[in-house]
Amino acid sequence: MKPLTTLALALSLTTMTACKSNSSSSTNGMEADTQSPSVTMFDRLVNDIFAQTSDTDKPVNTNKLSIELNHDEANFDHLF
Amino acid sequence: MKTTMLQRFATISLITAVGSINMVQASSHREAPYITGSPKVDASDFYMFNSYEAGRDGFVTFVANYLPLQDAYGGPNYFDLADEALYQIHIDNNGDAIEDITYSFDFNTTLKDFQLDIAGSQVSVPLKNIGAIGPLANNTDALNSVQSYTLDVIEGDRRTGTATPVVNQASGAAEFRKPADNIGNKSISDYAAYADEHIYPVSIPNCPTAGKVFVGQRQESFSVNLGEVFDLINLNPLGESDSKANTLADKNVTALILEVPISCLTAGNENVIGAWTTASLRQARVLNPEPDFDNGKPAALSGGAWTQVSRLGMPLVNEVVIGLKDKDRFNASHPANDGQFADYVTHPTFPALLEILFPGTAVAPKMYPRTDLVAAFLTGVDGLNQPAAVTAAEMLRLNTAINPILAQEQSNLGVLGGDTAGFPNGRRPGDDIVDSVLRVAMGALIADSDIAPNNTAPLTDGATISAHDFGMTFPYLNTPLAGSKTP
Repeated sequence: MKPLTTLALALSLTTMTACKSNSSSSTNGMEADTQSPSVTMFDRLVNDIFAQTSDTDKPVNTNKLSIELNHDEANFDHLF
Repeated sequence: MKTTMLQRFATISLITAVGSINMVQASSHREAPYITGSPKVDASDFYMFNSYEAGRDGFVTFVANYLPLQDAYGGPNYFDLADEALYQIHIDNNGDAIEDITYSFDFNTTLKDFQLDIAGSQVSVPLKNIGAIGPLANNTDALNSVQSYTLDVIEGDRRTGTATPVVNQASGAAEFRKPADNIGNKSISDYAAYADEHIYPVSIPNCPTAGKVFVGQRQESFSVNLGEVFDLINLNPLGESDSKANTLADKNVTALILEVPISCLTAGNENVIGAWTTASLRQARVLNPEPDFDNGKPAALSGGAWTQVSRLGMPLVNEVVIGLKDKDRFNASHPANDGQFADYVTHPTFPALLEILFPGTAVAPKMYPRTDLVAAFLTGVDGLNQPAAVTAAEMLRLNTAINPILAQEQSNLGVLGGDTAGFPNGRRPGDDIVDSVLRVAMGALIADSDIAPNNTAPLTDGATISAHDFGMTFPYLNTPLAGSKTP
């Protein structure tokens, strides 16, 4: 389960790069390129974290992400 | 002749025996910026000791206090722990700074939603109880909201290890009740008896002898002259040990208390165990703009991996050792990675601050790195509570082979008072750890007074505590103060 979850997270964060402003060699949130950090939309990040809810995985390291807030109040409606 | 650190502890005990000295501070109450916003997962004190209740030789008791500084009258919601959190006690039984055993508490709150018929309409009541509760644990018909918990023992990694439920030895049930808080005498006429009904004998997986567990509100167990301590130590540190009030005396706290047979904690020939407590939350939280109880829509949703937000082993470390900028980082950290905080121990700022605050009186030891502090806080003291193969890491360390001392015979200075069953060999409720820590910080373990001129100074904050202030049987901590004292 854990490798699958990790893979899913990697793929999920790969999807996030569609939102980034410039390219990066890394697609994983814990390994993002510090020279030219990806811009990750906050709602996508949160939704991906929720999607990876697990008792065994490690949390996503957000230190190397460049996070951009967005202001659509409906972005998390599907969670409720 | 070279003096060993343990001998030094014994020497100090003789010096301080001349006068009963005490000094206290907040152990870990609201100690880091982030945790001040999450009091339900704020670990404030952690104790570990060989059980000194008569007839309980061969057991270790762990006490993890959370949700500090409770005012007893804090209704109508009082002080439930967080359902969305994971509260854990970790044990390292081979000295490698990695948990081998974890006891993991997971809480669940059930809101019954009592309603009254008001002129034909069913209307939900606003209170947590609408009648008397107790004295039996299941006398809760009038309690509108009930919190229970499960307890797992995890062997190996705290996240990926093998988890097995701890069960009630009598019933086999895996769910335990947490008593309602001490609302007041009209709601719960005999709170002590009611709370005692929530002490459970438990069967622990792979452990042939039963343990005990209790989770619930207790009177705050720390003693400190808090306001003056944080007001640039606005007191006489050489004053009388009982000259000041314990600021926390009117507060409650919520305690997770677990008693486990020593044989189920130790491994091989190693008698020393290390332990610490953590609390974790899911990484993400989304607030609900329209909470809707009737349709199962809570005020907030949590998701993602467990993310540690609180950590506590040795008292006072994150309070007065770790720099303000790194306190949140420390709370999120694991002992195995404590090398990142080493400078805070080897080159501490607290003694220097005391020197600044008390010029001409306080003199910080001039010995760097402070290997004495490394022993006291990171490795355990050689010959006392240091594992044979130890990785330096901050945690509470207990030599389980040292017999417990009855409460009436304990020294509240622990090892500094000649009582090797006390702090820093574990920590008991009556250990005045701030006196000990303050003195150690100013060089009590350094024999050379040229290096540490204050090494025999009987430093104190004036607020005292001892084993006499607590119960002598499990769960040791006192019955919480009542929110209403009217008979």
